[in-house]
Amino acid sequence: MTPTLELISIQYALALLVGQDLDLRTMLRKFLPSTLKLLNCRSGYIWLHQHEAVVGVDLPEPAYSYPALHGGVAESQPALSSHLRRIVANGWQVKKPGEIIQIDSCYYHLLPIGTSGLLVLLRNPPLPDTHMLALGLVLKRLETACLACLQHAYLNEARQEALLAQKAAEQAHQAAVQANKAKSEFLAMMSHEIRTPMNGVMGLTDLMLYSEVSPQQREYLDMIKSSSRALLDIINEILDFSRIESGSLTLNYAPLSLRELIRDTFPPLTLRAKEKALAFHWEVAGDVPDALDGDAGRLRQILINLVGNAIKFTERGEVAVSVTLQSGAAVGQACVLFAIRDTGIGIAPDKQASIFQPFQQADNSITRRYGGTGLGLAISSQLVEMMGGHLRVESDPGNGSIFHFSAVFNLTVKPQTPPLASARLTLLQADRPLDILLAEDNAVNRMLAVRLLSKVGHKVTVAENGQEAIDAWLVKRPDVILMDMQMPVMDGIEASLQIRQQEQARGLMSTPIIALTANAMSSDRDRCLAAGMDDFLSKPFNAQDLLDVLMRTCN
Amino acid sequence: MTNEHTFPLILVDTEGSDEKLFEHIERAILAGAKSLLILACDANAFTSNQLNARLQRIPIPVFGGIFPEIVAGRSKLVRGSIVCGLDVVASVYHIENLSDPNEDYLVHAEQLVAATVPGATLVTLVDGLSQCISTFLEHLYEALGARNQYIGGGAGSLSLVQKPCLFSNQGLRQDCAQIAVIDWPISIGIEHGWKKFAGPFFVTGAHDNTITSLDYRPAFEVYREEIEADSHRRFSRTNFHELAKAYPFGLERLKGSVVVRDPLRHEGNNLVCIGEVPANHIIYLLKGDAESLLAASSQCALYACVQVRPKVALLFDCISRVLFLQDRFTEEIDNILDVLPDNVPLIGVLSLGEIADAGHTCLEFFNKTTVLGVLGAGEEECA
Repeated sequence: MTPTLELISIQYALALLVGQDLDLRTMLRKFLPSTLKLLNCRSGYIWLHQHEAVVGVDLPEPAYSYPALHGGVAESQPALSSHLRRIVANGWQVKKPGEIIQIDSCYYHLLPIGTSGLLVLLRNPPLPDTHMLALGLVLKRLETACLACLQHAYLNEARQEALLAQKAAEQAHQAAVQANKAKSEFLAMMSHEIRTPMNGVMGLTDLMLYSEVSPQQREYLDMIKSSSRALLDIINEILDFSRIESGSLTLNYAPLSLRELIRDTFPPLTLRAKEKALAFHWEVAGDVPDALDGDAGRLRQILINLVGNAIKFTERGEVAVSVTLQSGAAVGQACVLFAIRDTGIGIAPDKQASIFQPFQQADNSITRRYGGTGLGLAISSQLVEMMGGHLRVESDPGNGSIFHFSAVFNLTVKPQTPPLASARLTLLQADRPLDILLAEDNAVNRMLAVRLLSKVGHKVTVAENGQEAIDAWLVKRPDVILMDMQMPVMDGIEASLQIRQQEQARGLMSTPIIALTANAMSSDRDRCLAAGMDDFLSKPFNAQDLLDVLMRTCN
Repeated sequence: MTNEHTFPLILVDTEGSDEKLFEHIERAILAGAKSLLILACDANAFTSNQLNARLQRIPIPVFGGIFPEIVAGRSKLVRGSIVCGLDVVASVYHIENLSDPNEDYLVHAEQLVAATVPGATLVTLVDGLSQCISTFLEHLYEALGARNQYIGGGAGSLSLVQKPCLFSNQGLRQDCAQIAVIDWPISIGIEHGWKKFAGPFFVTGAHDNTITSLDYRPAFEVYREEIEADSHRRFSRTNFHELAKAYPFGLERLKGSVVVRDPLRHEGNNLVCIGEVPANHIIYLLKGDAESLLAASSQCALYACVQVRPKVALLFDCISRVLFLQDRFTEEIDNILDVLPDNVPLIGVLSLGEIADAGHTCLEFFNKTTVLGVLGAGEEECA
């Protein structure tokens, strides 16, 4: 082979060694040792630089050297280092196509890697200029590959930073989720802790209202009951909002009669409007279907909140509710528009968006004047969203507001609704006196239940925990058990499970068990029923609620 | 050959028995040897079960290997062993998994930096049938560089069945590299005598020690065409080695030099060599004649016999040169001994690949090459 052909073939082989990896060190490691072997060199060093003069600064360590330089270039190659320092000080300028320096009978070839680096080859005998020229073309390719590797490393670093930031955000999100969960658990616990004494306050108030009291005492007792109810509403709002935030609130769909629901919901609000001398009327358009599938409780909650707000913020004039059918619903569905119009104080345009945010009211003076948690609209808005609609407001400050929302319902058959028990002002004696076992650890609630049940003619045996309840059940075999869920020693769930197991093992008749609990979650009802209980009453309850559930279960 | 109480103490057994081997080991230890180099023939059929327990009881460092054949003075032994007692302590290190392409040999080699004295000779033996020998040597040189000198070769069996072939104080070892650090200088000659006759070819496909394509054509197809045309003989199912032993490959190096790669066998259209062949390299077909090979051995000895006060000459000569030169191989040994001073004993092996550092290039793995190293205690003309 001619020398030229040999040179070209070597050049070609070298060119193919360039850029075999995107990691700079790996790429140089795949390039340099093979290059040294092809060129019959002893060693080689590669520097990458910024093409700038660095006067008075030591020679930087090479980006890669083969073989490795132990102790650094200055220590292992002091003479070469001294030469290179001058070149660095001169802005890395090297003669083209390269220059050769002789140190102790060794020839060091200084070859520029484009304008970005320097390759130093140790070879005896030295390379001729033609070979260095041929190498120059390969080293231009090497420069491009090096810059690509550096760019890749930069992008990798940026990607790593982005990944770290994303990870930090995820961790922050997880922490927030954890904190939110802790908050929800705390609220649920607080709710339980507040509901338990509230049951005592409200129940004893009820009990006193059923007894002979003077008109002034009755007025005071009514005020206690009203204040208690207001406090319970606040707790319920906070609990609802917490459930919405944690995503644990779900709608309970069941057939409902829209007109019956409205008829049942609005009378207390009518009373409140009347107290403020406001006109209050509502209208359901004739084409709105009545039999719908929806969560009656939550729809009622939304209407009470919006109408209640309208009455609260209106000093004169009227509050009107219209219910109309919207077009565009899918087959088998109805899209119903609810609009609540008032002639109240209205809301400034810049405040209209924020009122649906939690803990926000139009301004602080509203809170001071009208009270409230600021959660009602946020909860209503979320519930409307869950029903497939949007809650919106149009308002003219000083002239009133219209809150309207649409909700999508599946059409269904008319539900069978039990006749509502009429409110009674006196407690009727029980038709059938019952032997009742009451398991309740709270002394006040225990006393309240005993008094109330005794007052209507029932006979009550008390137990202070689940184990005592089982023991008493074995001895007394009562007609019904009222079982608190949270008790020391053994809770109501465990006690109920054991009672049901023993009944099954001994072939005994099942004793009805009614859960009494200050836990307000729907999951608690499910847990009670799963443990074999027959019914569930949430604290605080009024006297009639308790008597109704007893009647329902024992009949 | 035996020269008691003068080191190096060289004890040769021509029977190839384990009893004789350990008898010689015992004698060397009693004579005051500080480390032992053991060279043995594959035909001895030494096994781990046979040797390991006794090797583990040797109180001084042991290194060496089992090779196709060994050389003691003018004798080429097909069976037998050599125990060479040295009056210098050799530090012996091993790097395992020499066939694992995912092994990072650099990490292990860097650990040797602190353990090796600059200027010391590293007798580097490898299991010659391992697949990553060149990669290992590349990393060894990357870590230690020119601060040390290297000589060695590939141990193993010409049957090409990989088995334990390196002596150590832990027993026989397989698929590993052995680095014995001896704090003596060495001068080295490396020659092969093969000449380019066809090419250049471009290695368009290769992995480890297997060439899959040359000039974008199946490797064996290209090889067969060239060899059959030159030799006027045809490859059959059984004669691959008989023809191929005279036609090795040469990896291109600048200024006409080549590094020889010996084709071991063909697997379909792939050619398996002793030592790695990098892809995208220029490669030639080489051939030689007895005269050129024998001239190379004389030249090799001349290069090796300079600037040291010689104590012992170590020969790593490729077994394929024996197969090629056949009866005339004795002339190769004679050529070397003619140059060596009379008082310098020659011991060596016929190896599966040779390892050496020529002094002006990087460390390489050679095939079909003669590597002669003269270990000495000082700098002085040989002759």
